[in-house]
Amino acid sequence: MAEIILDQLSKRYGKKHGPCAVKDLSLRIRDREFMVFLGPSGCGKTTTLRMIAGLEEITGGNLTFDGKPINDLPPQARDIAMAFENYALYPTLAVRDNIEFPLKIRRWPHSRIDEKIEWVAGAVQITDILHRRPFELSGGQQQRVSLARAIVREPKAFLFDEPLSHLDMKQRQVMRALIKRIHSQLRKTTVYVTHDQNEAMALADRIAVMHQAELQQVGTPEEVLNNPANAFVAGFIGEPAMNFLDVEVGMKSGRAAWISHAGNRLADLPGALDPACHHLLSAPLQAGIRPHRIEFSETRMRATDLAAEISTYESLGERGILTVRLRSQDLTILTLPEQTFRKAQPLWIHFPPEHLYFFSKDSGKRLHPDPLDRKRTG
Amino acid sequence: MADIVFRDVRKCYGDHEAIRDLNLEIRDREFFVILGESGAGKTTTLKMIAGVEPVTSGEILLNGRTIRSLTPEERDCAMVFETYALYPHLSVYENIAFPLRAPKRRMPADRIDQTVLRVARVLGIDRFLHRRPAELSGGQRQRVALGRALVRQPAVFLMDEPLSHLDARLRNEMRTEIKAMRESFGTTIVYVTHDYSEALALGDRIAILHRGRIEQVGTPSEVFRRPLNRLVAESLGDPPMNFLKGTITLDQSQSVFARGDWRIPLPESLRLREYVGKEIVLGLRPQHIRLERNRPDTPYNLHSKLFVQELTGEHTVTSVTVGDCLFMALGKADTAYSLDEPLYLAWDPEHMYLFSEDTGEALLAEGD
Amino acid sequence: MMTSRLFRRILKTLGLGAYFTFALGPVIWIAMMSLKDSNDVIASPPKFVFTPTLENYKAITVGQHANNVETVKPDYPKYFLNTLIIASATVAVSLLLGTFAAYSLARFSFRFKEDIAFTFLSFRFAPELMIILPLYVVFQKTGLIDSFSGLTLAYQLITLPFLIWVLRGFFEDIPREIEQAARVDGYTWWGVFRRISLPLVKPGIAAVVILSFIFAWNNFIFSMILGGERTQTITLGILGFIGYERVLWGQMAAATMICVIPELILAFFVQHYIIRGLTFGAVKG
Repeated sequence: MAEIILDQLSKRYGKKHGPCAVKDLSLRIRDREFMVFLGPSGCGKTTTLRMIAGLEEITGGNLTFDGKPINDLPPQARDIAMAFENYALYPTLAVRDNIEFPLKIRRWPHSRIDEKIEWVAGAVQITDILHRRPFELSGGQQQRVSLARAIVREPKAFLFDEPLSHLDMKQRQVMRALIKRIHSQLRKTTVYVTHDQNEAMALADRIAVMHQAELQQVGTPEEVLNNPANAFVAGFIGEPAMNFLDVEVGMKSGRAAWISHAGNRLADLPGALDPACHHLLSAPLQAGIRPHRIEFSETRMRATDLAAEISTYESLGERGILTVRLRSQDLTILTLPEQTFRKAQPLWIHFPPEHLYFFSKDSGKRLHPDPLDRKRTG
Repeated sequence: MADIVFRDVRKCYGDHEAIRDLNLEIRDREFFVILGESGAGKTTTLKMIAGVEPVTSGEILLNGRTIRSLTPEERDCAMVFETYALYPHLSVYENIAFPLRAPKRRMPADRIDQTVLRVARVLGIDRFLHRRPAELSGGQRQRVALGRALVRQPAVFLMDEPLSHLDARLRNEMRTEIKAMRESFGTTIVYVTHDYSEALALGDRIAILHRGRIEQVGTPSEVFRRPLNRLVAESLGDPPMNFLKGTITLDQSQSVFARGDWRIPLPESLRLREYVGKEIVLGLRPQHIRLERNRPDTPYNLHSKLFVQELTGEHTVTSVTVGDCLFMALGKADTAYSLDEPLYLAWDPEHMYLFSEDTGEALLAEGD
Repeated sequence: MMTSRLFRRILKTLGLGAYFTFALGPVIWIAMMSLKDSNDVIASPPKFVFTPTLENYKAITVGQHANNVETVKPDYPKYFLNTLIIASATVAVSLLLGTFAAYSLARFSFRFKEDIAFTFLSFRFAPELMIILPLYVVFQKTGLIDSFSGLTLAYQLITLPFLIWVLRGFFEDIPREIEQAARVDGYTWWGVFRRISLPLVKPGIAAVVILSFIFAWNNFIFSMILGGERTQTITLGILGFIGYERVLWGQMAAATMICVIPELILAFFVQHYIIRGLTFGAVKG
């Protein structure tokens, strides 16, 4: 049972008015939840995790576990377990001793230790390497041991700091599945830091997206993917990344009627437009669309189709990535594999209005309410 | 204009044999990708072409002539190093201009200026020209390293993991950029990577290198669909191909894949007949596996238990345990299963791969 | 919390103060001595308040004599020049030979490489006195005694091993691929050495130049035994102020002060490179 609440948590290094590593972060991590902090390097996600662990001094705000403030509690008193990016195993101890270590410190009886080790070794599949030393193990095996040591004493919460970043692709897949399975079995509150959106999507109950020391959005994987709060989240999540276009709103008899890019109409707005968003349309706007949502054809199908020219096509085995040039801008389009395209071939591009996202160009915020309000399905 | 031929090339570092009997033909104007994990000998291969690593034995021919006696500066290669290898004491401008100032080129100053500015603009680093490499981010350094190679018109471009240190976003962008620039190069490109999707996206042909030995050379679709052996099959695909050990037995003169109680019929082929009674490995790509709750009415199925289910973007990666093996299946995110729920894996026979357990040699590939 | 921080600061200040007094005290003492006249110098207890005079400096540079005290013939400028010639020549020769030796030891592989490198270093192990007598015999037989070239040669025993050892480390720190990249970019070995490797070890060169110069400048024993009237160096010259009847404390102090000047000037100009040298690691691509 552990609910972790971050209330305006801040971290500032050095001077009082210096830059923040983490700025006014408020977040409620629910009991049993798998929360992933996702963001580019230097966004403050690891610092946040280290503050939760007690390895980093909190310079502002409050941190509570189950309602108890723990700002000043040392790490060992917080009843958490942490698995590090670089495994942090004790090199002189055998695998078994490494895992036993936290239990022996807590003076568990031998019989209980043995029982526990047997269980944990089975869970992370290291039963056959218990007698070996860390330096004899592969990266993946070391990470399993590190994981075993973290879960063996059943703490209130688990913290993970990019645990898979040093593993090769295959190991990463397997470890990711293992972590997810262990969480669904033990159901302990877990906070997990990564810069890899696939990892975040695969593991998280909810994702907290961070950028430049600030929390951008918190939501389920589907929410951050389909309902991004701002242009950063929209551009950061999803692969290949979302396309962005500068757009203007065309007015007809006093109401917003269409969207255009560089003077070319690219989508008509449906009749009923929420009056609440009219004022937003007067500021500079950006439209976003995911690569797999752009439609294209060799002939012009609609009045709103825009002419573009193919610049490259890459076949990636299971799918293809087409890059086209629309005026001075490149657009990425996801296609089926095995299609053939010629360079400089003209193409008509269609932006289905239901898949367009709108952002304020100044603040990056998503327009709210959405001018084309509808249920988002990605 | 350059074709490169490797003839029985070996490279040793002391007792360690980094490259063994390499035979390879890289055609003129080809985008040739060498794919392999770290330590496979990819970088060594590039450096032997560039002439900065000597060849232990064998020959490398450039346009039919041996280049053994040529020094690096005489070989006319441009190389992008994985570590960037920028000159830390020179500005970005001077780094890019450096090859143009080489004694044998003696380019006049105004032409150097034009060329550097043009390349810098293409790569989007024209704003940093006065900076030192230390003041740049990883992505910018990578572009400078590319720029230094692109200012020249060499016979051969050598690129050693030019995108490996970039984040996913920038990597996609730069990959597209390289693909786009490729057409304007008009020269032979040898490109080294450990990332299979990069290899598939860029290469005209791909060589899969493993521990100093070439496992297969072919077009992206050849190596992806018709791998010669298990190593090649395993190195292409994310999640990688799933494998299951078993034996071939004869069941009423029909050869079948057998493991425990499972019997999976195999297509008739003389090749498989030779393996009757021997250990073989069944291979299935994650995207070819269907998961079903009820026993499917195809003999191409296996019984399993759900290990865990993960959502990644539009796909779901579902891990299941088949006996003591972990299998991964890739599919649309539609059904949610419960932990340890029994499931059937089913696939179409044309998507089945078979490999010899001993040699790893492919006995059956897609479409057989 | 607050008090402990304050306490730590006080402790730090006190510690640094004590060290400076210990290190700079004698220097200040000598500087004061050099400005005292002959009576003040020998006054006991020592005077801290006195009328400063430049007489001592005048005496050793132009040879003016004052207060009926006999003037020592001002040989000092000659000694100064001698030392300047020998120390500069020593550094130049060491740099020329040592840079290439260091590069070869860092980059090329050849038989007995490590043994050769160690032999160079071992020159620094032996006390100078151990080699000075055989060297004296050799110098006498070959006529190198009391010659500028002879002393320059002898000083190589001190500066060259040091220079090779330090620069080798600096060359080894340059990633090999940077040099390979320059070769591929179209430069010969020599071009790469001149345009890439050498500029990258500048901080190292600055550091060894200044230290080698100081070693050579301050050397006493070689110049005492292998030198002579013609090549007398400044360290020996200062000893000359100790006469049979009296010690010319004031002039000796003035000579010492002047002696330090070239080292200070060199340090000042080279400092810029040494500081950069310490942050060299950050530059690597």
